[in-house]
Amino acid sequence: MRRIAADVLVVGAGPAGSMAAKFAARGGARTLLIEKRQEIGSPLRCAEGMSAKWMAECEVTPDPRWIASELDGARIYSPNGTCAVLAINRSGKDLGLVVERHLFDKALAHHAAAAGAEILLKTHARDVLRSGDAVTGIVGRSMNEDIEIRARIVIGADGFESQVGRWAGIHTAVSPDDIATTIQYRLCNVQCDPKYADFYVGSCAPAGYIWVFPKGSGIANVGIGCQLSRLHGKADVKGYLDRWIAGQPDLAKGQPLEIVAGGLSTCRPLARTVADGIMLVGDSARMIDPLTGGGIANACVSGKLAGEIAAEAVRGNDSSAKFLQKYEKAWRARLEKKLVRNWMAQKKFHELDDATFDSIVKTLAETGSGANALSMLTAIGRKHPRLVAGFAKLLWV
Amino acid sequence: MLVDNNTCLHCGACVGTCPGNSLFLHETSTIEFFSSCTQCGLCLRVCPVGAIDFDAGPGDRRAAGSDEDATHHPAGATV
Repeated sequence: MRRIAADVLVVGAGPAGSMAAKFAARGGARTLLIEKRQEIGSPLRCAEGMSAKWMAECEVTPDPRWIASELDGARIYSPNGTCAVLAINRSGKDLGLVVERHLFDKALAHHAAAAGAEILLKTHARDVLRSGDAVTGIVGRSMNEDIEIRARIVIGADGFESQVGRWAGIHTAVSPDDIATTIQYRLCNVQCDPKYADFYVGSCAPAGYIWVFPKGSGIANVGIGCQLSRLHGKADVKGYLDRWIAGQPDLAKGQPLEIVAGGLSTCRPLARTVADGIMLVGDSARMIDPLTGGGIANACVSGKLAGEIAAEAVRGNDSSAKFLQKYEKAWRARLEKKLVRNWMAQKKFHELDDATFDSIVKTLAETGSGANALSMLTAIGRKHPRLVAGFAKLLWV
Repeated sequence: MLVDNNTCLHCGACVGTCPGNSLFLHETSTIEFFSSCTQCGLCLRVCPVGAIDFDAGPGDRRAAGSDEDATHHPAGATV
């Protein structure tokens, strides 16, 4: 049995975990970051598209080494082929990027290491350690030996299938109505516009959408996400994607270089993300955007907050849930309203038929909109007020 | 429930979906079903590549279908 003691233990070296480890270490905590896989950032389960607005706040600089494409905008296609072109707001200092996650994730972990965090690969948790009700670490396995890691604060960054939170007694289970499943091919030998991310809505992707994200050199990430409630048999979601690709002349001759898949939560914010001695961040805390399915920005923002507050907890020798409410308040102030608004929008849009999608995309094409959810919902709301009636007040605050 | 390990991508979608937390992804390589599995079939439906199926033993087979098959409905998220 190998025994390690740390101030802060971060479980999972995806973006949320690496960000938490960086800021915990920066705050003076002896920080250990563990990752179950042998490689950080692979296999990926991500469409690899992201905005850059969150990066300055998290001290990340866009780096050409992990950027595959820098986009001019997004195009939304309705079932009858109506197309709305949405521009990225460059003057607002936003960027639309398609990245190489396997390099991006390693870069973030590198930053964590540069801040002083230690990293252990092939190290996974099997249960939490407790002292009374408080979480005091994890037991698990590291390479070929059993391991016990005691820490004053554990940060759960273990993704959609997160176990750390459940073991700690935090309720993270998601209703089937709020789960989406996704599959994607990295296709080569395709034709696509290198400067636009394309989205296809309607019955081609029930309660979800299909995306084509260009990666340069005739390569694109082509994938689909659908709500579980619309999927009934084996590999339904793969069937939808395969049939759609077969009908696209620009993509049908594409050859796969990679298949990725994963589940994601599209639920409202959790009631609780902390307990004595533990905080949850990113996908494990169900912070994925319910409308877009994007998780990286929220993962990094919450990771940073958790890392900073964990270091504070260590300095003040107080890892109680009461102290950690500071994290609850901080991430909710930053993210909660948008998550709730986008959840309500998602529920509405999942009810729509193809004709209504045609109408909405026509509105976007005519009125114009920025390439972000808020702009789109606002533009749609002006012409289709009933669609946004349930959450209109969250649009104009 | 059974998993075809040749098809399985080890993406963890099933583990995160299981309402009874009856699934575990071992060290990134194999999926284990605990005896608490109620065969609700949600994992079968969520698996992006169809790697999961019902165990073919007598009395085990239930039709995959609607969410009503799930015997656990977690309270889900509340604000």
